[in-house]
Amino acid sequence: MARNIVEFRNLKTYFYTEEGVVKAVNDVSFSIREGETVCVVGESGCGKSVTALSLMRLIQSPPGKIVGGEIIFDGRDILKLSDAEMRRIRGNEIGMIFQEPMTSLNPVLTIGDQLMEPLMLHKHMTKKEAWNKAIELIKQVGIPRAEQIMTSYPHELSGGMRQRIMIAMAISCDPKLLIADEPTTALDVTIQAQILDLLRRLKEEKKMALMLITHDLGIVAEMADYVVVMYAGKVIEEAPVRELFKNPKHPYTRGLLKAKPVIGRRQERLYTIPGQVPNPIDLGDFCYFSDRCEYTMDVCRKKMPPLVADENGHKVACWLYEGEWKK
Amino acid sequence: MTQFIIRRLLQSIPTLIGASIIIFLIFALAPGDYVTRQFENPKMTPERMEQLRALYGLDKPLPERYLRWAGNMLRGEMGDSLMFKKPVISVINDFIWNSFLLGVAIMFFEWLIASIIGIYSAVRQYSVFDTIATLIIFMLYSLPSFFLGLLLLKIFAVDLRWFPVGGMITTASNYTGWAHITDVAKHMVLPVATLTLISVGGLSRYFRANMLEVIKQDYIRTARAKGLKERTVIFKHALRNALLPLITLFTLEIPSLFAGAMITERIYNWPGIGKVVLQAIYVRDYPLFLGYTMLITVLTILANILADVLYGIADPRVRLK
Amino acid sequence: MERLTPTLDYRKNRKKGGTSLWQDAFRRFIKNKYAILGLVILTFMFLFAFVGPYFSPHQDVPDVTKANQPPSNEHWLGTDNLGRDVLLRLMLAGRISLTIGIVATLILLLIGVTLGSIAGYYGGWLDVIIMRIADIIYAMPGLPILIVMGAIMSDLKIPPAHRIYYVMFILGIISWVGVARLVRSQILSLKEQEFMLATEVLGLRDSKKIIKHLFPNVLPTVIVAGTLGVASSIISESALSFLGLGVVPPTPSWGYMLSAANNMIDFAKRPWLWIPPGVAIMLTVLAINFVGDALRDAFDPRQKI
Repeated sequence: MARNIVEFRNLKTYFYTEEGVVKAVNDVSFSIREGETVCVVGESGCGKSVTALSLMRLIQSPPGKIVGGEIIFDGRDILKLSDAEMRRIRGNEIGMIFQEPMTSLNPVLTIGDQLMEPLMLHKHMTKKEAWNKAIELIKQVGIPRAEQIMTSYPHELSGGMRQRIMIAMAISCDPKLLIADEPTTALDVTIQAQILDLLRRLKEEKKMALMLITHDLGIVAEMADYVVVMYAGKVIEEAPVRELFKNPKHPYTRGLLKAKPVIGRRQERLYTIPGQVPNPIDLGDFCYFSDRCEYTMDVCRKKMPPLVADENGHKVACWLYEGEWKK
Repeated sequence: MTQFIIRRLLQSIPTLIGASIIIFLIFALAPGDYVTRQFENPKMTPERMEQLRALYGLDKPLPERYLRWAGNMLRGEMGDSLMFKKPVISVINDFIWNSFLLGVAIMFFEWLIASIIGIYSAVRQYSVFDTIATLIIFMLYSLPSFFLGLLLLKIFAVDLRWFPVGGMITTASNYTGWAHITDVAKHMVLPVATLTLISVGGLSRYFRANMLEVIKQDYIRTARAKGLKERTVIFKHALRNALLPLITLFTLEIPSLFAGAMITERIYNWPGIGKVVLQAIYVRDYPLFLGYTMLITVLTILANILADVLYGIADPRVRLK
Repeated sequence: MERLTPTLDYRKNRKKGGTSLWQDAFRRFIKNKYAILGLVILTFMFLFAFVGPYFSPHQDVPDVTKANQPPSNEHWLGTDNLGRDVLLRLMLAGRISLTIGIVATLILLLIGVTLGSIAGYYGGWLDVIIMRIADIIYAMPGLPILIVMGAIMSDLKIPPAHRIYYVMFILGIISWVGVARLVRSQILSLKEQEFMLATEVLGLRDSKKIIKHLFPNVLPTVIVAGTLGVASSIISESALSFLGLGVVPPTPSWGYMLSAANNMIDFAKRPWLWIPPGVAIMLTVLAINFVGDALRDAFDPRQKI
C-alpha cells in the first residue's frame, strides 16, 4: 500500500469580496497516493481548482486566503513553509498545467527559453545542459522538429502543441505530483484523447501521481484510479473509480452520471439536475445540495451531513446513508 | 519590412501635402501680413507698402505663393525669416538645439521616474505608496504647464533665490568649459522640473495600468507555478509584455524633443525654438512659422512610422506576420 | 471554467430584474471615493462660478482708487489693477472658462462621434477620406496652430464678445481626432460581433442598427472621452487666453487672469492676482480627472476586486 504523497486535511480557503465571504474550499479532506491518479470532479465553481491552487499556494491574496487546515505534501505541511521553500517545490516537486494553453505561455519569450527556466533554476543546469534536456522533453511529449520549436514563439504553435509544451515544462524536473486543471477542456476532442494518452504514458514512465481536475465524467472513467466529487466547496463523495461508477451513492453523483449522454442510446430528453448551484456567499450549516435533491429530508436543510466511509472505502456525505435514515 | 516602410512613406505623402496646404492657408489668408505689422504708420503710403510687399514676395496670388513655397520646401529651402533676415533653416538651427537640450533632459527624467512609480504602484497595488502617488500624480497633471512653471519660478527663483530667474546662461557672463556646463544646468533645473512634473503623471499611470493588466495574465500564473523567483516573474515575464505599448509612446514623444514648449520657454526666457516661433506668430513672420510647423509635421509623421516599425520588431506576434 | 474567484450568482439573493451595464457602472462609480470627491468639487466650482457672483457685495466695475490692494477682509482675494474685486473676477471668469470647456467638448464629440461612426460603419472610401483628414490634423502640432488661429482672430478684429464663440468652435475642430479614432475602432470591432449579425438577420435599417445597437455600446467610451475632453479644453483655452489670444477683456477668463504674471511686478509682488485662477483651473481639472477616471473604471466590466 503506497504512502500518501498529498493529504488535504480540513482545508479552508475563503475569498473576501465586497459582497461577502465566499467559502470556495470549505473543510476539504482527501489524499492522493504515490503514483495514483485522482480525479477531482464537479461543476464550475465547486472549488476544485481552488483546492489545487491552495496546494501550490498560488491563491491571490487579497481577496483569497487559506484560513485553516493543513496540506501535507511528502511529509511536510505546505502551509507552514516559507515562501522560498515553497518556490523550490513549485515546478520542481509539483508541476501544474492549466486549462487555457493559448494564454498560459508568455507570448514574448521563446518556447526554449520558457522550457529551460525551471531546469536552470531547480536543477542548476547550465544553458547547454538545459537546452539539450529541453529538446529531449519536447520529443518526449511527442512533438517533432524539436530544434525548430525551441526557437519558436507560442503563437506559432497550435493549441494542442502548446498544451504539450505546458506538460513538458511541468514534468521537466521530474515532479512527484502533476496537477492538471481541466487540461483538455479548451481543446478539440481528438486532441483531447492524445493529451490524455500522453499524460497516462508520462505518469507510468515517471511514476508520478496525477491530480486531474475535470467536470467531464468520460475523462474520469478513462483516467482515474480514485475519484473525489466536490460540490459547493465540499467533498460530497469519494471512491475508487470502478466502485463509484458501479455504485454511486450521493444523489448529485447519480445526477451527474444520469446527465451524461451515452453514445448509441437515444433519449427523448437529456436529463439535467434541476435547480442551480447555490450562491456561494455566506453559506450556512446545511446540505448545499438539498434544494435540488429529489430525496431531500428535513434534516438535510438543518445540518450538514458528515463524510462517512463504508466497508469498501467508499465515502459519502449524505443523510440518506447516516444513522437511522440509512436505507 | 522594407516594403512596409516604403508603403507607409508613400502613404504619408498625401498627408504631408494636405497638412502643408492647411498650414499655408491658415497663415496666408489671415489679414495683415508682415508688412502691415512692421511698417504701418501714418508716414507709410500704400504705394510704399506695395513696394515692400513685392520685395518680400507678398503680392503674388495665393496658389502661386503656395507652389513657390512648396517647391522651395522640397528643395530644402525654407526661405528667409522676415524677423531675423536670414534663412529659416539657419534660424531654426540656432535655436532648436537649446530646446533639444531641455527635451532630452525632460524625457530622461520623465521616463525614469514614471517607470519606477508606475511599476512599484502596480506591484504594490492599494498600498499607501500607491494611494499617495496616485493623488499627487493626479494633481500634477491637472495643472496647466505654464501655471506650474510660474509657480516654481516664483517660489524657487524669486522668493528663495535658489535658481536663476530665466534664460539659459547668466547674462553678460562668459563661462567656458565646466563652469559653462554648470551654469546652463542651473538654468535648466526649473524648466525641466516643470515639464517633467506635468508629464510624469500620465506616463506613470500608463506604466501602472499596463503592468496591472499583464500581471493578471495566465502566463504569469504559469511562471509562478514553475517556482520562479518573484523578481524574475516581474522583470522578465511581466515587464517585457507591459513595455510593448510603451515603445510606441516613447517613439511618438520624439518629435516633442524638437518642438520646444512654447509657453514654458517663454516664461523661463529659454532661447529655444518654441519661444522664437511664438514671437514669429506675433509678428507674422510666416516663413519661419511655416518652416517650423512643416518640420514638426514631418517629424511627427516619421515618428509614427518608426513607432509601427519598432513595435513590429519588439512584439514577436507582429514580427513574424 | 474555473477562475480564481468563484462565480457569484446574483440572482438568488437579489430582487427580480437583472443588473444592466448602466446600473452596475453606477454602483461601481458611487463606491469610488475619488469620484464622489470629484463630483463635490465640480458642483462647488459650478456654484462658485454661476451662483457665486450673486452673493458678492462687490460690482464688477473698475475703481482705480482701489487698485492693487492685497487680500483683506473686504476683498478676500484683493483687487486687480483696475480696482475690481479679484474673487468676483474669479467667479465671473469661471463662467466663461467652464462654458467654453463644455461647449468645445460637445462640438468635438459631435464631430468626432459622427465621423468616427460613419468611417467605422460604412468603411470603404468614406472611411479612407475621413481617416486621411484625421491623419492630417493629427500630424500638425496643435498648440502652434491654435495660437495662430488666435492671432488671426485678433487680426480679423473680431469683437471680444464674439471671440468666445470662435474659441469654442476652434477648440472643437482641432480636437476631434482622438474621439473619432476611438469610436471608429470600437465600431469596427463591434460590427463583427454576433449581435450585429443578429440585427442583420432581423433585417433592420442601417440607421436603426447604428442608433439602437451600436451607440449604446460606444456610449461609455464617448462619455469617458468627453469628460476628459472638457479638462483638456479648459487647459487649452487657458493657454490661449494666457497669451492674450483666446478670450480677451472685457470677457474674463481664468487664463487671462493668469497673464497678470507676465508683468514682472505683478508676478513677484502680487501673487493674489495670478495664483487663484491657476488653483481654480487645477481644482476643476483635477475633479474632472477623478470623475473621468472613475467612469472609465466603472464601465470596464473587468472587475479589479
